[in-house]
Amino acid sequence: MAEQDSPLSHIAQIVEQQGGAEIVVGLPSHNHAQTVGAVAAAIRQGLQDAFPGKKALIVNTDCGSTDGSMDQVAASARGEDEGASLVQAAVPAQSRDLPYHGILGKAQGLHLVLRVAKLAGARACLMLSPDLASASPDWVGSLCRPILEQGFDLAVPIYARHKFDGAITNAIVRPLVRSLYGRFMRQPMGGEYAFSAALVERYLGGNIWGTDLARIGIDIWTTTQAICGGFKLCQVHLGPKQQVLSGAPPDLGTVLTHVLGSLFEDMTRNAAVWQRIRGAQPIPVFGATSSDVSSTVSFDVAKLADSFRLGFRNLQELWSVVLPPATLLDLKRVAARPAEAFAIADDVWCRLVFDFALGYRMRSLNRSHLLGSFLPLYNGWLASFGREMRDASIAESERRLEQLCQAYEVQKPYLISRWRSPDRFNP
Amino acid sequence: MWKNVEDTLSASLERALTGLAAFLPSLVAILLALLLSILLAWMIRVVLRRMLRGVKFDARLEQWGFPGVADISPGKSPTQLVCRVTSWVVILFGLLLGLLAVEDNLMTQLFIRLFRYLPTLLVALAILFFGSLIARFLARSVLVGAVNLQIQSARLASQVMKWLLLIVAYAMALDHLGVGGDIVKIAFALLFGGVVLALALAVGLGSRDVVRNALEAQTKEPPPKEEDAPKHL
Repeated sequence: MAEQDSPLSHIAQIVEQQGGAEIVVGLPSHNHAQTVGAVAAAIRQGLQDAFPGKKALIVNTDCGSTDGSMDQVAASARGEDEGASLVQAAVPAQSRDLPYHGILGKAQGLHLVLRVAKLAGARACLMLSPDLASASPDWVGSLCRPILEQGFDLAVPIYARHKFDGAITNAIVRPLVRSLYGRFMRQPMGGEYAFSAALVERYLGGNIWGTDLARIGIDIWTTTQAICGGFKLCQVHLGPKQQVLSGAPPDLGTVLTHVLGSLFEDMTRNAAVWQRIRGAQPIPVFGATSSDVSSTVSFDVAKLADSFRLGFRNLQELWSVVLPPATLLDLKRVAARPAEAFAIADDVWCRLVFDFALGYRMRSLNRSHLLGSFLPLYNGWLASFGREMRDASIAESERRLEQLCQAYEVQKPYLISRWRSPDRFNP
Repeated sequence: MWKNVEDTLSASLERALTGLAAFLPSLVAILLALLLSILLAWMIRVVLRRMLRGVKFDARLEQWGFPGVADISPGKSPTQLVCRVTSWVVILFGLLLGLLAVEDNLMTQLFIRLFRYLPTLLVALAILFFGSLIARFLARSVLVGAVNLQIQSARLASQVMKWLLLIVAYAMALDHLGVGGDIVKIAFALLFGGVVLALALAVGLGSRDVVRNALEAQTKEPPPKEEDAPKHL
């Protein structure tokens, strides 16, 4: 505790000297020297442009960088007589296993930022990722204005993306969050977000700090906490998001395991809330949509379909522990289809996700085996979506994803039934 | 002569009846001990089942990382397994106590030998139990990992892993029990060595190119990410 408090006491002195701060910006880093300096500079510029005269504090929390990331952030502040103060603190890593968002120590960083924000009496808090190559000064104002000027509690971004980008978000996270918690959110795990002082209190009172959920699922937790607490949410168009990965990224299997694990864990914790929610409501969206997206994304549908078939041939023993016989029969039919007619129906896909969530909760299988065995199913969905949307425009693919979200909502009673009486449906 | 026959028969009948009369209390004792042990086993089983169900033993065992126990349990319930094993142990002990009443010296010797052997037996059973659990866990890990790496013979790799570990566990258990003496060790060494040699030959002769390509891929710098690959998050 003393180790954790020492950076806070150092920062407390700075906050006291400054006389508090209206805006606190959190910037975690872990070997992001290539980009973090530019992000810090964009934050300073953004604060000056959007909120001149307002006291602000930038908190750079670094988790064991060896490439001079902290120096890059410090360099971005040199020569500036005005603007936000900068404080830097080292946070310990909970594990060397890189989480899906690729930023080691992000949760510990957020925890420190929350405590600093409370100490400084901040009205708005902003978290930005250090690996952004496209961070614009405008983002600071776009995300913080709804909090400071319009009374919102959480502002999350909508990034302009290619129709095939963000497939995990589109196939699982977005429709699951919408059906469970009843809010239309395009990108619930955007990674960047601004939030109010009220949410700072809510987050600080959360019981996840130091857990695996915090380590790998902090982004989804911040969103669902805001929804479960009845806070006012909004979305902001920020244009395209470009990231520069520091080192080798986690492989797709690990990313999927982390995302599903954090989603299902969070879902288990919030079961009492989402079981009472019916339907879904849109939330306000600010900013203009951007058409500036990469136009070269493509993948091999046949290869993905083969991956699904390989999984079907080999993993039925595991799947049959969590999936009812009818769903296995549906998958058998899917596997028998040729690549040019490959398709997984929306209702089958929704039930698959729900059944895996229930398997996670019931520990029907070892959780690493359960979540690891989902990758061929995900590849199957991607093959199905890719084949169907090959020649579609972004607007058409959005309409198709809207259909998928509605299918999740329709299937929600199935999830609730199984959740409440898991033995009744046991395969 | 008939008088002699009659005397002989009556003497033999008397001896038989005397013997039966002498054995009858022992027989009653055996039956009584068996009956009491069955009754005791039933009571213990009922109490144990209630207790284990009360503490949600099946779910807890899964949470502690032993989901495989359910598969080898009657009715997929580890609670049932524990209850059955406990009740059979009680019945067996009741039977042995009954037999002790028949032949004191022989059964005492038997008891001493049994109790000396019991820890060894229990350790061997534990080796088999944990060996099969580890084999199952690692086989599933290999299966999931291999499928996700698009390896076509994923099931074969998983089965090889499972049986290698099971063979090691069985060999260790038999060696611990002292069954088979050196034959088990020699057979295990031959089998394991044979498998490794076969794999080495298969890799060396049949898959040289595959291995070379795999090693080259491992040692080379990873290729740059394709610009047009989709981002999954």
